[in-house]
Amino acid sequence: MIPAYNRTNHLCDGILDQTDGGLSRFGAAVVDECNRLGLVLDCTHLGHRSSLDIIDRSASPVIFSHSNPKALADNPRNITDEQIGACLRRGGIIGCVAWGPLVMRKGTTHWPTLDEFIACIDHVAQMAGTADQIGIATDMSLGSYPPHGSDPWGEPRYVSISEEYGRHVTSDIRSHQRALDGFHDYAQIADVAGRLLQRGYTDAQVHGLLGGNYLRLFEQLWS
Amino acid sequence: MATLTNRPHGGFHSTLEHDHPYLFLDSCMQIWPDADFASTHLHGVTAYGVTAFEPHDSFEQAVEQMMFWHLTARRHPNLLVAKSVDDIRQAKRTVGPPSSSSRKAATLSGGSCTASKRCIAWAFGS
Repeated sequence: MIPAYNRTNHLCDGILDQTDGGLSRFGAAVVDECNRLGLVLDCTHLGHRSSLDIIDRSASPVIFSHSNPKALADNPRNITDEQIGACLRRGGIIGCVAWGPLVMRKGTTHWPTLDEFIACIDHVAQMAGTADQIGIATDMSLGSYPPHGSDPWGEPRYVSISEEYGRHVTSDIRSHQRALDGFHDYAQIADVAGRLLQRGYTDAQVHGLLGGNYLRLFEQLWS
Repeated sequence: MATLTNRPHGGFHSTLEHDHPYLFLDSCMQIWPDADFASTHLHGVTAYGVTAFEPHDSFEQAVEQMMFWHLTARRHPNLLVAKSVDDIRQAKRTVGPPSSSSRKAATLSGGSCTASKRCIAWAFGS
């Protein structure tokens, strides 16, 4: 469960909002209840301090289901090495995400590539000293992504996370170019596995990256 | 293994002629109402971490959204809502070529994001 989505609520701050106040008392109670129920807490979309507070508070490991290292792709939606390290030390998983705007590196203008995405995985693996605490998220859609005009909350006032991407690659939210050059169709997942093997990951590690690592954590939390 | 489809509106994926050996759990994606639900087990994905409900939904709306996913799984024999790790492993074991129709393949699991606005989805790992 993601306690907040980009903007601040009663539980904690969102990553794109104006404050970075951390977990509220009510939010702390929600974390405790999630632990009791075996719900997996997901810190993606949360403010910096909120995610660190939750990692510290939670008795169970937490995940970032779809965030990339800010050290490689400096986007407001990505996460710092401090957040990654805290999550890893508590046994959590970082789900690297193949959404183009979160893979695009500052100063580049090309369509982000599969290799640049794998570099995000490499970065987390280097920090963890293992590939056992990494997963993969696509942020792809099945079916037609609706126009943003349907947003029932109106246009957000927080910072844009894809303005540069829209300028240089595509601003069409339905375009396959919102994913990666080399991974923009689910059927390419076998190619992703092949590329990971070429880059030196073992077959067992690739099984873990594609799903086994998450299953191991879910088994621990859902039992 | 697959021919990539032309996707003028995005969100439509190729189907694999043969499954690959990896259990793939996508920890963030979205499924929209016009998705080809009958083919969801043929894209090479074992478990989709779909969005449970929209950000800022009321409790009633959130419960209704989650029940929508259970209804979706009841309507599509190739889908199930994962309630355990075994459900996901079983989905991988039973996925196969398009000719076998009695399988439950892709699971809707996880509990993830909504990249924006009108996301339907489910989740909450059990």
